[in-house]
Amino acid sequence: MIFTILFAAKIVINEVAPRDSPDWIEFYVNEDGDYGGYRVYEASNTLIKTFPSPFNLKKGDFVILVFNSNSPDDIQNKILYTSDSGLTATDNIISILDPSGSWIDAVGFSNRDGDMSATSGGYYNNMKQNNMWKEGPASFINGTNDAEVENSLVDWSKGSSGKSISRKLAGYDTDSVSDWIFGAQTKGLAVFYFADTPRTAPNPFIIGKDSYVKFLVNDPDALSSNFYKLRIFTISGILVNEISGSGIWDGKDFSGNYVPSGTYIYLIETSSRRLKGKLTVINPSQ
Amino acid sequence: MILIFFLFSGISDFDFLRINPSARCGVFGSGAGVLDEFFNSNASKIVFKKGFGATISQGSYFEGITDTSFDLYYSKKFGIGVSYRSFGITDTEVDFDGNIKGDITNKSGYLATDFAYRIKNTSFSFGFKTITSNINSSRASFEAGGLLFDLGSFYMRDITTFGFAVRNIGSANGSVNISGNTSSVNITPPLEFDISGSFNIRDVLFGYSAVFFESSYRLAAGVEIPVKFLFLRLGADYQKLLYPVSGFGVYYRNLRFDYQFKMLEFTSYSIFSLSFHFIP
Repeated sequence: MIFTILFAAKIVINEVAPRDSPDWIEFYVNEDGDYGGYRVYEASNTLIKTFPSPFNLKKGDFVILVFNSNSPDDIQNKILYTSDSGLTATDNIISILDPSGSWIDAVGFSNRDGDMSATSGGYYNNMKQNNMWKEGPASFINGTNDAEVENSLVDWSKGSSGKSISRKLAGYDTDSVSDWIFGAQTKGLAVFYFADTPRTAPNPFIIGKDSYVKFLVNDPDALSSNFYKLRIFTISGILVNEISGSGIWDGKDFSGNYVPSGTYIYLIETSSRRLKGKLTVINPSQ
Repeated sequence: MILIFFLFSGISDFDFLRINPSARCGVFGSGAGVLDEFFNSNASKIVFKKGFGATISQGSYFEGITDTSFDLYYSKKFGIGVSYRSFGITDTEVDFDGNIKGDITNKSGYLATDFAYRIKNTSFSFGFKTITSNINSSRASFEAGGLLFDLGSFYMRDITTFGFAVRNIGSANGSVNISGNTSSVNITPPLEFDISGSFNIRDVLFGYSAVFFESSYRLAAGVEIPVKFLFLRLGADYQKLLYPVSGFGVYYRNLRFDYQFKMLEFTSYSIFSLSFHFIP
């Protein structure tokens, strides 16, 4: 049985950092395939990057697009570069289109100052016409509904270096502002991953072979709050580690030592729900 | 002596040893050996109770986890007992992309033999157990085994009892196989030091225990109130968080049925025990 990603495009914009040096965009792959020729745009329909061709990716891959660099693309590590100086960090719409020009995914953010950027507002209209965003008015009319449009986008009013907007669940896409959170950057890592049945991957988690275990959860509503914590217990109830701000575990305890082989229980707590399950650890040394 | 325990870190797949399989004992804390009639938990107590006895217990913890134990003993001034325990976990094997690949089985258990001897109001016990643990999946497997020892002592006078035990002394080793490559592993048994006691006021039994392990501890206290043939029990375990425990026992001639329900942070678990005691 293969777990299914619900509501998801085959590749999605997963995290955006518009105030870094350099800025970057992270993409998350939901389906295996060749993504050569896919194009990334931002406000005013500016082409930022065309993916190299061929560009074969697997489900679960992260692709990082780094701005302001003439470096050649690092296809093996899925790090792409663009000479574009950086993202507009006030109000912006970012999109990814397939080679035929069909919209695959988009996200908009704003600084919520009541004055929507005219160029980004124009691209907001394109996003709405392509059914890539549920919230907000059908079209932006400059000087008329700026605040309404801004408030329908992901909140970037406290945006700064080291911060980003990212999906709560990697790969989970409902074309809605509720998919997104503002917070510390998690480049290359997901907060939580979405699957129809909660589980951890990989399981067993092999220390020394797997760099981390990720937690797949099935309830995005439960993660609607920024507050959550992930706790790992032994079978007898001894707390091994507590993690916040990340949905992955590196297999270490509070002291920074790898835990011994065995079965552990995880507990994910949000403001409204408690999700729990088992995971197995194989430690080649104990 | 406690300093010895602080030297140990890591708990291995033998963590199930920290869950007391007895439905009655658990209400008073996992270390409440003075209240236990599961011979392997505290052989030194049973020698105050003459005759043959047997207990079978079934624990149900988190989803996919089962715990079955069987205990048989004979005691007079000298006591001997044999205990068997099987702790099984079924988990789901998943690859890095989240695809289900099959089942993971994790089976642990032990076969234990214990001896005890009483001198007036005090008794002493010694036991050993062969313990095994196996985790199997298509990506990797783990297996371990070892010989562990328990030591205990018990004092009873009038309405007061007091006992202590050192559990899981010894060593274990094992191997891990990852994609055909095998390596040996060092296992750290979950060594612990238990202190427990009880006193009885007007047939109401008050019990307490303290368990020290690694650099941590667990405290527990409970009460057992007789109501005709029924014994109602209520207690709490403290281990950074307070966990309530409740249960009851029903006595009928030589038979006793015990039930325990405990809340942990991540789950609740229940244990049923059926005990039989016969004096020839």
